[in-house]
Amino acid sequence: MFRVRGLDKGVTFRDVYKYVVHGATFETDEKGAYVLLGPNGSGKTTILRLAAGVLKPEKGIILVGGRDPYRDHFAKGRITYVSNTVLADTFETCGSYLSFYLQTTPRGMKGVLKEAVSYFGLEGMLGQPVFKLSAGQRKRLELSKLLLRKAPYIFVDEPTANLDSDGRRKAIELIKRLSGSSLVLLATHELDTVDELEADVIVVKEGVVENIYSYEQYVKLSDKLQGGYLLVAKVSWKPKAGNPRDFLKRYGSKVEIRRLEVDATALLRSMGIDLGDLGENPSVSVVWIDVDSSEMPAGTVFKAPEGLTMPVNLELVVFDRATVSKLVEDLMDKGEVEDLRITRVAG
Amino acid sequence: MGLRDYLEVSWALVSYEFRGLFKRRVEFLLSPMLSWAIAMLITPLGLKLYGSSIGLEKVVVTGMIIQGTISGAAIAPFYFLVEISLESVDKLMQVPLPRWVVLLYRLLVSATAGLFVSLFVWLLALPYLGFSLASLLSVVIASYVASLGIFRLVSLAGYKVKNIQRLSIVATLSSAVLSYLSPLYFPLEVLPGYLRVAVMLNPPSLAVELVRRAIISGVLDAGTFALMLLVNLAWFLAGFVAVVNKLDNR
Repeated sequence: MFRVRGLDKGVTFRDVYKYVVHGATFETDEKGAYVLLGPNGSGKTTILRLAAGVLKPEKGIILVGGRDPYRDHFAKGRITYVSNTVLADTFETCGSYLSFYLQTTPRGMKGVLKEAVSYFGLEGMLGQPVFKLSAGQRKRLELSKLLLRKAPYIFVDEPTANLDSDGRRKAIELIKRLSGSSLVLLATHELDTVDELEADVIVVKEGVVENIYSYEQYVKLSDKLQGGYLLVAKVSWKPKAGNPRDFLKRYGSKVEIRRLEVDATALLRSMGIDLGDLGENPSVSVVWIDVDSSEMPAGTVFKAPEGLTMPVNLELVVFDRATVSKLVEDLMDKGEVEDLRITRVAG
Repeated sequence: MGLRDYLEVSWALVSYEFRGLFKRRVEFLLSPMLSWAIAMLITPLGLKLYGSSIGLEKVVVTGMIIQGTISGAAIAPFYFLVEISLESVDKLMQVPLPRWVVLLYRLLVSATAGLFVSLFVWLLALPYLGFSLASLLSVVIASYVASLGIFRLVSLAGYKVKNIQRLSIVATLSSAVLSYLSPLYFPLEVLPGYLRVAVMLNPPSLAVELVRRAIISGVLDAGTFALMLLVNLAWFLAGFVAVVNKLDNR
């Protein structure tokens, strides 16, 4: 299935080594959407960083539009790279982060800051330091780079991670639109993203490109590529339901916990404390909650008000279909489930 | 990319680095400035009262100006090196300029930390030294050139260091080496020949000489300037290669 064409178009990897990537080889067309599909730790992010020219390969050849993206700065000007994390300095504001990206974009490819900010609903956040944003807001900030540099080569790492349903829809729509005129190479472990984009698939496992499928071929094979289901939800956990982590342990190896965190801001808000009202530098920045211990490291122990629930953000991988429905039922028993999303993920 | 693109991107990068220095890394400037403000409260006055016949305050205060350069320029490289090991440097690596140019801009901006601190100490010392154009020029030139050399020498010393705790130890040691292996409180010419040559290789040594001659005799010595440029350029190149290498091998 490896297609051979001229090396002056699209992205070419030939026997590339770096970190967990052990001899990755593939080629893409000049335009269209390609998804690097593979489980966590398979080397997808490293492949994208190498393609974006921010990492130097230990060995092998990488060409983007016929140019070496690490050594040839001209190639970098024709690449938009959306990382999995916001690449900001400590205390850097959202406005400064986006302006820098826009200002370092060659003139022919510059987008409009206002448009990007408005598309991803970042109005009012430009003066905020990046570290104060939620995970979803950070992802939207990083994704807005797609509208700031309109490049012919676009590399996006986990475009839908941490996004709510509206953010996810917008991200997919935008990527689909951009893939009409540019090459979009994105990394994900969500199979549904492939379907939504109708993208060709580059399967990566243990640092090696295992196979390349056209979308039509992928549709026939998607069941085999599936390794489980990703369940993302916000749960208003009832205090009497016990520790969420202990509850999830009951599922043993059928459920892998990717993320389990208490949303401290939402918890405080439910208690009538709004961090947003505390001005530019709120004095409360960390809240320590230890329900098991009778000793609190600091602060005051108080009785939870009647009806108080603990807002918990969950990201779980469930390895079989039967467990998914059982788990959702159990979660609904433990609290109020909001913004539930279940997607298929690669194995 | 046309010439205008290169200019615009360069300007964006340089102004971003300056904002970084003055906003996000302002402690590089404020911390040594505060230390030297305290140091300048009574020391020059005491020196003037104690050794006015030999102009002791001029000798020592000149040394303090260059120590200001060292304290400003010796901390910045460590954060610079640690940042290169972090993923946030990916942002700089996306800038469509040759990566050595991106690093060079960052380095040239960071080295101004030493210049700002020494100018601050010089301003505080004006009541004792008096103003002259030669002294101002010597402080500006010597501090900036020495900062480049110091920055790179410290980069070489901290090349393998990857965490902040160890960096602070290396920074303290480097500052001691840079300060006390240079003729801060005596003229270079009093040292025996072989020792003089060895001490001259320390980046701030000839900067002290240049500033001291300008302050005491009111002239900018071209020979000292040329030699200072040469020594610091050599350190600069060696350190620059090390930093580019670190970036390539991360």
